[in-house]
Amino acid sequence: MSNTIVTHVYKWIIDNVVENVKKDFSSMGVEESILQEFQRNWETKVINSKVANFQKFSVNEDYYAQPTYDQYPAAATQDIINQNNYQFAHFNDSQYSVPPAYPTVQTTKVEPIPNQINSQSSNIPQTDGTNDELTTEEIDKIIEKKILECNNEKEKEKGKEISQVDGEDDEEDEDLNYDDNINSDLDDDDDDDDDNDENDPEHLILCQYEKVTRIKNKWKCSLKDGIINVNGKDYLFQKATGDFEW
Amino acid sequence: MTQYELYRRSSVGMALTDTLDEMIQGSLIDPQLAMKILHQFDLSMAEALQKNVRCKAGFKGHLDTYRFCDDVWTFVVINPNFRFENESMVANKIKVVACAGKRANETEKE
Repeated sequence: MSNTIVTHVYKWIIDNVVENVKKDFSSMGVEESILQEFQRNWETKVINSKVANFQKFSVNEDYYAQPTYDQYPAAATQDIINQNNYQFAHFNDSQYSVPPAYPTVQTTKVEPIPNQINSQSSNIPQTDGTNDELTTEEIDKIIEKKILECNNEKEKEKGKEISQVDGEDDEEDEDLNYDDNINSDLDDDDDDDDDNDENDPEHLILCQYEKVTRIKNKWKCSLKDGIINVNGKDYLFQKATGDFEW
Repeated sequence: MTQYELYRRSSVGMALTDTLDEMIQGSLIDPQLAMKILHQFDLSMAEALQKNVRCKAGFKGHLDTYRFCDDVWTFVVINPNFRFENESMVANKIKVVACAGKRANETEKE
């Protein structure tokens, strides 16, 4: 199955990249530990993407078995915590209204970079009740801001709906339905796809074509060197054929 | 060897760009080094696909959209049916992005 080789091939790519950029790291005066951290973070992200079974992905299983803060001196860990507290102080005054999570939660994160942890903390929804460090007034302010934001968003959405209705009316025009010109139905479809590109976890094949032929409405494609991402899994192929009816 | 930036959109490529983004934000590496790493990824990916992958696949479906622009084919296929060597699979929709894989194009570019 072409899914089982994904683990091996991705591991090979990561190792190959790391091996080849070693000289770039040293020529730019970047420490080797940064390179190791880079590899660790990349591998972690690939494993978390769950596009294949990565159980035997890393030789250094220890990296994932124990939280990385154990590898750092106690002082460094303390720094991370301090920086997180500093982040909280900012947080309460800022426009973000999501209550911050506890520092203890963040110190168990796998990634050891303080900045990275901070950037993540803003995305972690708090699930363990309200933050005890906030006073009642502060909490009230946050709630008020949240309500205002919600209202604003609703109003924006209303505005969008109105403009979309205009667009749909245009499409009902018979002339546009039956030609392939710019701004016709075909073009609209394309545009919609592009808009969804970044948001949809869409199924995707990235590859190279050798030959694309068409006889009437039947299309035939010879493809090579491809990565298929479908239903959350990756598949690789050396050669593939695509037969479509338009 | 033909190498494309196309594969940066794959799962392993996105994992890489996310990692680099975070490390640039954390001032651990500078963007110049990140660009070098990405370029190396393009090379390594091309080599991996050409040397380490021997699988064949096929898929059929209803072609919803086709586009050929700047030597890149894009197809949107509805209800594709995949055949891998000992597995088959369906999906509701798949987008195919294909760059030119011919040797002729390679020489033209160089």
